Amino acid sequence: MAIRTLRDVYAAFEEGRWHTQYIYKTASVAYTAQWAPAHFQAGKPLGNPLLGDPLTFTPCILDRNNAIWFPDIPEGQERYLASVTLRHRQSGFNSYPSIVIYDLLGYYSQIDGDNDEVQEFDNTESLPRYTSGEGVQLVMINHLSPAAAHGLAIINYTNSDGIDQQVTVNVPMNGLNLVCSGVRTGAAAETGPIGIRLGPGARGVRKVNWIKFTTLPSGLFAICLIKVLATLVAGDNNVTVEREFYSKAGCYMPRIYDGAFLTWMSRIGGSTGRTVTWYGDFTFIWG
Amino acid sequence: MDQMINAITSGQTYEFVWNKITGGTAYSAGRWYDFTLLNGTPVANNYPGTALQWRPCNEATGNGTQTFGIPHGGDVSPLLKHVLNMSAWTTSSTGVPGCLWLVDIEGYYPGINMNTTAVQNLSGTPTLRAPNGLGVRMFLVITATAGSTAHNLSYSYTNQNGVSGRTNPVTVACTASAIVGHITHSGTASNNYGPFLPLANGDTGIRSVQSVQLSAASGGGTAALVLCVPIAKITLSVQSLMTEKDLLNQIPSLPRVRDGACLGFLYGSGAATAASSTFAGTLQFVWG
Repeated sequence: MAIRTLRDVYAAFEEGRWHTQYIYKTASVAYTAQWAPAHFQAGKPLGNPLLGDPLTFTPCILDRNNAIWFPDIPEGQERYLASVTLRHRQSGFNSYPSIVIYDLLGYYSQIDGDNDEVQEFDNTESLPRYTSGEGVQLVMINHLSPAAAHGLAIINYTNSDGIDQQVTVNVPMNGLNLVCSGVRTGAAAETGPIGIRLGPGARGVRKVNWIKFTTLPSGLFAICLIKVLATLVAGDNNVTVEREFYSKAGCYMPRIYDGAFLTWMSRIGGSTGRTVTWYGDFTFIWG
Repeated sequence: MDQMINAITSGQTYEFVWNKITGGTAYSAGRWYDFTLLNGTPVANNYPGTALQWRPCNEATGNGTQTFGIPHGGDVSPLLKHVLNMSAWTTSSTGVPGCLWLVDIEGYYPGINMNTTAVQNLSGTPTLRAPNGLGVRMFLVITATAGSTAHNLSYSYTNQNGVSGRTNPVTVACTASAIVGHITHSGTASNNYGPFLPLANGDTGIRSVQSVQLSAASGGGTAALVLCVPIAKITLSVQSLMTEKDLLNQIPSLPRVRDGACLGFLYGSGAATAASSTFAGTLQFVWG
């Protein structure tokens, strides 16, 4: 039953072991040249502003319509993302969006950008998937209350080998609901990275232990732990990008674990901020 | 195709998301730069070591001081590992057009003095992942800013057949005042070659390098002579727009990644890339 050949892929479709989930996201905040996570946007699935107990790891587990829904499968079977179609509508066309599809594993909410003390995190809950942290990215996002300046922070985390590490990274003022993961050790604008710069030898993040702002950015922040699953590039406004993972992208079908909290982030270039609306579907197979 | 799907759904894959930010000095168009020296994930490499003595690099420990190589999932022998997909983007309008060249850094000779005309004899016997050094190339990257006097580079190496005394077949000009990270013999000036140093007639690889010599003392600076195996390239064409490369279907090459490979990117700048430009991307590997 396992999917190990192209014949198995076709058999999954022929035998009904597939599901297509349509998605629709209402207009985002206006952005350009930053990574914008779609889960902030209302629609289907529901918007997720990353609420929870402050500074407490909140695991993300699919529950009905809180993320891109897929059906339960019999024990022992494996689920894969077979294909995705996405089309976008920008409020005024800037450029083609670059898209990263990922599993949002959990987050630390409401980190205070006006607090220069050590803010310790509650890790009573742990990663629900990719539990070692291998390949897990640490993503800073400004949420709920906008930053007023570029910040600088020391972040202490446990890497995927179980070793505590500490990095000093800037927290750029990129805008509300947008990624602000820094790489540099000085407060400055930075819009390219998805995850922050990690320490020597780190291949991922298991948990985050504390943060201390040494330059206060103001506002509130969330740290998300994510596992990137796939990338794709969309086309012109309203043009659908279609990606069959089992026959394109090196046949790299991302494995979708039970409870996966699927979402995506996008990045458009240009000098004028644009809101972006999304339509599309995700197709899963299993066997 | 079936073998590939089998490998992927059996979990014989690894993905890594990398990012790098250029330093405080702008790059010049037409030159090549070594991104492993930049901050980001993985951490920066500064080619430490005893001057002129070979130092090997690998995935697990990098150069022995900095674990700077892009992780690719550890050793898999007797299975074979390949690069499957690549993506990359830059935030910088001056980061395009550009080219990122993924290489396996086998090791290097550090501490080459850019302020002397003396023959600098290199020591150590490289044990290379590439059998007999086949396919190995080399480049000279600045690790402390070079002086302002023009200078050429000559070198003597042992080729893939074990023949020693092989030398540069053409005049190779380095760049006066080259900045840290610049592959100093690359650029648009006369007698510039890049990113790799030209090999003698008929040579297709390098086992070791015996000596280097400059035609003039530049006035300062140090460099590292790096041996590497080129693996795959990805171009950057539009600011902020991700470039994707499928190495199974689109460019059916599935470049091999050997056990222990110490992966990093070289960057060819098609424009004068502004200081503090961010580059990032993903790499997917598969083995079977």
